[in-house]
Amino acid sequence: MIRDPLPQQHCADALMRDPGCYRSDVKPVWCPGCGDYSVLSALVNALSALQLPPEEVALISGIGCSSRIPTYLSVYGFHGVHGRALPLATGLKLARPDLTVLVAGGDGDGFSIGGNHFLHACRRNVDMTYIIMDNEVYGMTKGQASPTTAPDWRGSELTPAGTGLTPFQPLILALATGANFVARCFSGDPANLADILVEAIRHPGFSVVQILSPCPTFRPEQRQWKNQVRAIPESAATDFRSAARFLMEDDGLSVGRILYRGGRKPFMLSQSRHSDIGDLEVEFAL
Amino acid sequence: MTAGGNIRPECSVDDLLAYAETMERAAAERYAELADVMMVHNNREVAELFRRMAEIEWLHVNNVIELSRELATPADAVQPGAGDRLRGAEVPDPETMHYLHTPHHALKLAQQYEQSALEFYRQLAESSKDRELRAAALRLAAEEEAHLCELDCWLARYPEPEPDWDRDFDPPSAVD
Amino acid sequence: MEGAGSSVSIALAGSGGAGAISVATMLVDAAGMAQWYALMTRSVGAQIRGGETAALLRFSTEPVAAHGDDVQVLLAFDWQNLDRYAAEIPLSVGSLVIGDQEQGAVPEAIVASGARHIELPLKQLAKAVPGGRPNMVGMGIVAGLIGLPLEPLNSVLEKFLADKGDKVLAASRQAMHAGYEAAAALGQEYRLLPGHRLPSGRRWSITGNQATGLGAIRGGIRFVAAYPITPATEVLEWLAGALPKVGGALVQVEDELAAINQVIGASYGGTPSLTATAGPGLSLMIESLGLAVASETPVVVVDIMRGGPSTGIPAKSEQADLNIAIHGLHGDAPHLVLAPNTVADCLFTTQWATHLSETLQAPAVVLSDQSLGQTKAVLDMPAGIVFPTRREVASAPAADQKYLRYADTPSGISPMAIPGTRGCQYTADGLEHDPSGAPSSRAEDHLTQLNKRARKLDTYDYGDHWADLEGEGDMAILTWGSSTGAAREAARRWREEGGKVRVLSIRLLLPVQPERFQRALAGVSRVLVVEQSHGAQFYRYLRAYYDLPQQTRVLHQPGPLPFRPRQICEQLPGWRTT
Repeated sequence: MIRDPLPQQHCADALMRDPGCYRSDVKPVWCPGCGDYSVLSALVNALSALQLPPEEVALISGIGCSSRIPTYLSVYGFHGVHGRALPLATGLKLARPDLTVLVAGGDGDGFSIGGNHFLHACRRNVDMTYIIMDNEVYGMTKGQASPTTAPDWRGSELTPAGTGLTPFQPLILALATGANFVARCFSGDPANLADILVEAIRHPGFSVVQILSPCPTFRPEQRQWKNQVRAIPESAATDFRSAARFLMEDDGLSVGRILYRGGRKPFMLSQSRHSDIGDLEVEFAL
Repeated sequence: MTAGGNIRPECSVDDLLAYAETMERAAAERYAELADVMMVHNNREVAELFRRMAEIEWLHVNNVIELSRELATPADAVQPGAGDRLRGAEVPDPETMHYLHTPHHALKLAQQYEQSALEFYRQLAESSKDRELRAAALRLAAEEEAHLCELDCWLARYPEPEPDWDRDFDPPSAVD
Repeated sequence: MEGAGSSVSIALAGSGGAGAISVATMLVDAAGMAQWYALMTRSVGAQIRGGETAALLRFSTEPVAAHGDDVQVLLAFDWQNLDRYAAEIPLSVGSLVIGDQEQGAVPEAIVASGARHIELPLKQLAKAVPGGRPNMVGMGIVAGLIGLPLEPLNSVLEKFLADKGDKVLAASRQAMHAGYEAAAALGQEYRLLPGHRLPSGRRWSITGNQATGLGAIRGGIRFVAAYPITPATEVLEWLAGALPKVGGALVQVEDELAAINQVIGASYGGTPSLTATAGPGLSLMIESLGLAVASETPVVVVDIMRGGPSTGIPAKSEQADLNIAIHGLHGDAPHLVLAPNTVADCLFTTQWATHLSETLQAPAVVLSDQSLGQTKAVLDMPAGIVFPTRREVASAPAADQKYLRYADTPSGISPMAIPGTRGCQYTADGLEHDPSGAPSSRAEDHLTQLNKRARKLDTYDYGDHWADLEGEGDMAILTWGSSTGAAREAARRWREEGGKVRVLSIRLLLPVQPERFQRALAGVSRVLVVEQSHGAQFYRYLRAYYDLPQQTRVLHQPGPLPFRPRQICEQLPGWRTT
């Protein structure tokens, strides 16, 4: 069998890191047809385009189908508990500002159990990229409604009459709470996604990239997304107001463009050592 | 989504060949990935088929390299952008997959992407005024065509499956 | 009753605004400068401002770790709702209550104690000084009563009022003098003997919560994620100021779930990390503590225990989070649980907990409590202990080798790669995993990792720090945490009467140390367990993990009332005869 002429050894010190350098040898458990495969492809291509050394990148996730992604990359990873990827990543980035920190997960992990952290991560604006694979369903627990599920979706035994709840609008909230970079993409266009991920990772501050990523198993109708998505018009992405106005009226199927890029300074902790522990003890001495 | 990325009729032969090499590589990697996907889901037959497809794509990579050498193309003529490797007409979309796919589906999928690659190169040849570029595009189109023929023969061995091919008698599993 | 010459207990009471707490704080520092030891706890109402407040003080010529049996002097600036916490100010027939007639009648609960009562015109004395305040008069009275020299008082006043201007300082000094003189008429009965002279700086005035913060920094903690909660907030506030000075940082976060996960993230990045909370916060953090166990990420969680369950009694102490700290985690999740037993020990135990957590790559829960945390004490400068070992980290593997994050080593400790280390990239995981870290649900991998995580804690040599043992004899008091102070004082009295008793205060609650325990209790046939929990949690814990003699008694009471040494002494005579 003819093999890739660029074997793994190259990756550590190569002049050119191939996308394959960013993949681990663990095979995904995602269903065939899942959009997350394309997100994985786009992500490794983005990392390759940025030529980041794999050991200087950390990918943090919570629980859910998409949260399995760190294991499939050759960067440092942490697969934590449900809903807590953002604080885990925040702690890492604050303690290690030299690392490129990425956070990945799904709509249930990020907007339901982890909803509070999402709001505060946007507010805090730590320099990280949050990649949300939104399939409007909990896949790993066999297909329950998530915060982004339509109110009348009756596909789950847990909510046989639908949830009746207004779907969560992550990007409106991201804008409202201070995210510094907001984009929506479609896994079915991984090339565009890879380009936008490059921009998101480069952008200082908290970047939110929502990706419509179909679930062929529990939401087979999402296979039609590829015929339904449309490009976000350029006019929507001129400034904060146009982005907000556009999102308020959009049905969620407009994709493929960065909606907002802010200039807010990322949050950092100042760590300047200037005394010894002994100096701290003086205040107690009588 | 435009297949072909930055490749336009005004491109140089070097650009085209660099693109073609990158895309054949991407296609090879994608087939290997699809083979893994099907292996994980215990669909050995289709996995084997994709693995074979990946091997063929690696042969294509070698062919393009050969062609580049013939036409004295310097290596790495254009630096691909982040998404460029994912824009190839011949790189299959993993979202079309199903775990119960039969070899027939897999071959149809391959056929679809080889066909689109063929069309891409043909159109490029037709719309370019540069004689050398046209010649190179036609060579690449011929490559794809040969592959398509192979697929046709192959497909003949795997007739269309029954309409209920995707029926699963077990419910999905809860994992996490 | 204790000898007044070597120790005296004083209570200052008044509604918020009366300034009882600030006076008590100054008296503690001044006592330390006068070569004495002191401790001060406070009891406050639920109001943020203006609530009933009491400061309980004990001054002593010897180091002191607990309150005495009775309050000898209660000085009340007013009587607002004092009856609500009369139970926390134990008065007896020999006690002296000083009140101001302007504030009305003495509450029934105080009268009922039989204490002697005198009136002093605090307000009037204050009014005689332009800008004078009754609390300064009160400070003078207490100082005069116990024979605290004016010199340290003046210097403490100067320090406290540094930013208030000369006028305020002069007025305060004058009002204090007025009180000092008024005390002269009250006799010599409460005067303390001179203390042991130590060089300047050798006595510290520190709260348990500050000591916890300092112990964390000494242990190497450089990242703290903080969510405010009573009574742990002071740990975090002190660290917020101190950490940046030593190259660390603290961040306030959105909730306790964020706090624990941020410290796990920071620690994964190689920075020793800690968070501090109380019971409700610990409950929220428990799931992620399991993540720290499974992913083998060192973190320290300090729980300053308060009355529970639920919101319970937030500002008052109880030793009732033992169960959740030991058993709260789901699955088989070996981890460390430690408890300081004095204010000074908050420093050592937190430092040691950090050292153990880092060495063993396991989460450590430190169970302090409100009583230790919010006690301000004058004590001998704690000895500096340096632990040599640090987290075992991995370096880039040889070209032909693959880094295995969760390698099944003989010690159970596997070198941890810090992000940035080339060639060691791995994914830390809360899912069960194989040695490389890849998720695995295979029985064999599960068993290997369970064994490894248990082995690293079980086989480590914890040395003598696991518990404090004092005394001899066939009788032992078994206790932990803040109950230790009263137990030790009871034991001391028992020995003074010619009795023999051991006190074993367990600092390392998990992993359990059955062999050391057996050695410590060799020859003991009678045990008295002392703990501040309604459900006798410590006793049940001992029953589960240790062999206790048949003659074992339990003295357990819920918070917020602390043990008085007398209560423990009362349990001892029965033992002499059995």
